[in-house]
Amino acid sequence: MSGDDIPYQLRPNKFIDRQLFMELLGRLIVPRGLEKYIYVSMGGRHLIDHHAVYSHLGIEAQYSFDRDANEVERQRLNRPTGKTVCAQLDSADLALKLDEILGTFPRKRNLIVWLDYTGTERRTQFQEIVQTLVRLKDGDVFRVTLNASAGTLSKGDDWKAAAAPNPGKYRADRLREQIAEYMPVAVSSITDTGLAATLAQCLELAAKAAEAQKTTLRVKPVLLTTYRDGARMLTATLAISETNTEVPFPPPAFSRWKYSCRGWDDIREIYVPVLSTKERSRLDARLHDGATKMLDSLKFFPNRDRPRSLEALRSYREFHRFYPIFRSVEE
Amino acid sequence: MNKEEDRTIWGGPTKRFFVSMLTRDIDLADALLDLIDNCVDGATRQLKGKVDKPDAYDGFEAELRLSSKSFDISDNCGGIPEPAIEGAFLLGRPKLNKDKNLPTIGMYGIGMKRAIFKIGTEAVVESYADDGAHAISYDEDWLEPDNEKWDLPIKKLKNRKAKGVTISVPALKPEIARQFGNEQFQNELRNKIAEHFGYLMQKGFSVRVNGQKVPQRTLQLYTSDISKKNGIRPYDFEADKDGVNIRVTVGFFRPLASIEDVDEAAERSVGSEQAGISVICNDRLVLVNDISLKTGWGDGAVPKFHPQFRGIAGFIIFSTNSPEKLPISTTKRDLEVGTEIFLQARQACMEGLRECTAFTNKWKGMETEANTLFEAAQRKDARTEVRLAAKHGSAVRGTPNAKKLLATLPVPETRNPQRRISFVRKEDQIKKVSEFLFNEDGQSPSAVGQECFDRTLKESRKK
Repeated sequence: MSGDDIPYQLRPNKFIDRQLFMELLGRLIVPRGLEKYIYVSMGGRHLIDHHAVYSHLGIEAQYSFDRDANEVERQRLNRPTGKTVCAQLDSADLALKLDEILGTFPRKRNLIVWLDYTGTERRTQFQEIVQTLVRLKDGDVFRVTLNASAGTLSKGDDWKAAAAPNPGKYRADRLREQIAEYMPVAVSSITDTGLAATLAQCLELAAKAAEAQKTTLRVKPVLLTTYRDGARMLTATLAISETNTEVPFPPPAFSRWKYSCRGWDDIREIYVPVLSTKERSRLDARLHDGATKMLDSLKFFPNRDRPRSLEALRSYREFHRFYPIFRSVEE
Repeated sequence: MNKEEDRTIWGGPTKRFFVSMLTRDIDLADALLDLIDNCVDGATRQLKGKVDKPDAYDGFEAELRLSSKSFDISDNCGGIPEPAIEGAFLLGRPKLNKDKNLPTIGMYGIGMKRAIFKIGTEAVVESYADDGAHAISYDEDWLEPDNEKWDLPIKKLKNRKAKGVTISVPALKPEIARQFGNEQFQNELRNKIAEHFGYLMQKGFSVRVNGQKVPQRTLQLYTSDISKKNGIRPYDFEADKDGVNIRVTVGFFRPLASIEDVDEAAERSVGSEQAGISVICNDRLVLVNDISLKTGWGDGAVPKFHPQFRGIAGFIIFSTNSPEKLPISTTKRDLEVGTEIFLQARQACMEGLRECTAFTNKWKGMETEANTLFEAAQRKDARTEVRLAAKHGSAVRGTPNAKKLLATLPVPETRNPQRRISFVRKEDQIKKVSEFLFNEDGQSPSAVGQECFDRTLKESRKK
């Protein structure tokens, strides 16, 4: 479950990822009618996503779930409106309950489902993903967050103990052991930072498995992001369509959105630096000059070294309008 | 082009392929079940496909007589009509639409011949139909793998009142004679027939083996009245898809296994045989009590089968008048698991399995309490008496003409849940404490442990 206790001011990348998702939903589902949608997500104890979906898009039909009864009670207190249903449910049971959730909101026709996994029970997660996808319909949006930290596949020298030729091969073998049927044959090695890209490929196979089970189903990635505030995560947002419908989904204009993804390998890395208000103000004055000049305007590296700082500032420029300002109300 | 390039070569089958290779693909008992399948298909043709009535097959019968000397099977299911005789003896069916709009199961036109080739070195098939009676013979020469002669002798017979087919195999292959003479094989065959044709027998079809009627075996599941809150009920799903009716029911055929039962089952192979999912196509059992990935165990949210789940059973039933749409392989005893229709049913089956396995896990250690819920329910025939989805189900998204009713099984109290205490001690120590507590050393370890706890709890409350 996603009940993460790290406050948002320490997780600007996750914050930006969520803002991107809100903008994406606006582009993707507004043409179809927001009033038709139900938002279904684990939510965490404070229901941050649910609040965002309510305040940005006005979607009131919401469902949150957690396996822990205490967390569910806490969600009930924190829900954005009285229409949010908070249920005690294991993510494993979500696919089973989708019809019931739709029955709770009888006038709604489409779903936005977000499975926000932080753990590494990948086999179960991929099976749940397929089981959820086959139950989705034209116009639905499916989003999944997966732990893409290479450390979940290898630690220290354990590749040597396993007599693997290198850590990359060892990681690939471990991932194959976990999710053999969803692992592309061509993947023989996974670098320190490459697990997110590999998991995106695995998701493509999972989507194809769902399409094979339900032959009218079409699954298209619309936003793939990776970020690292603590552990590296991969988030994939997928548009669900069906072959027997006339209105295209995603709508044709969607491809003009700056962040729309062109395929399973088009992953955006969100890698912004953690900046103070003063630092932001200095950098923003140079925003139009490019990352190099922005960095040169500082007498320090906002990240570990020059290359990483440049990379972070490029990411800062790309996601500038989503960058959060967090301040204590007592300051 | 030269003459060499114009040459053609023979691309047809060999006799050997049919008489001695294809027969290896099928188990002996399954080959006999194929013969009974043909009898049932004959009855279905006689009924012109009207097989929905609860006693539709009443009066139709197949009788098998097997010994170490010979084998024969006869039925009263209508015989082979004259126009169908030639097609019936071809190896493979030339057209798929022979039984258009009839819920038969034979599709490939190989079952009867393969069974004959597997069993005997000669055979006679006699058919008594309304429009004439015929006998077709397979002699030893014809059945010789190297003999490429394919013509079969056919002669007219004097017709009789009882219409049907009799297959007589007067000379058995030696390995088959050994099996047929073995009483244990005969019992196994009876068991298989009871399982495979249980649902047809429920509709009145009768099968005898060496004069003895085979009893029907069908799935009985615990269910309680729909108005009862917190009752044990099966998961139930029903849909019509492309002319195929799909039913999926998953529930408990017996109460939860106690921890001792589970331990015993893990050590010895006992009593899990009836657990699992069976697949039934046009009333015939195609897959029996499956506990593998095939029916969804170990996939998605469903755990792999474990002895603690030995009370869970269910079925997937496909019924159609277009048998080519059934997800079954040529042997008719296995599934085409990749077909969309099967995958949809499997998806529903997994939902039922998820509910039942989650119930078992939630009540782990509290089996006695859970089993009081079973006492309040009744075991009913799952196919004929449990129709929850059709009567009370709700729509299934993305699947028109489908209804389902979740089992929504009771959950234990979570605010003050029961917890299991489990530990091991040496036998002589347990006997000593048993003597101390009960004045006898023969109490069970769990009774001794429980008494220790209860007395200590009582003491602790005094303070």
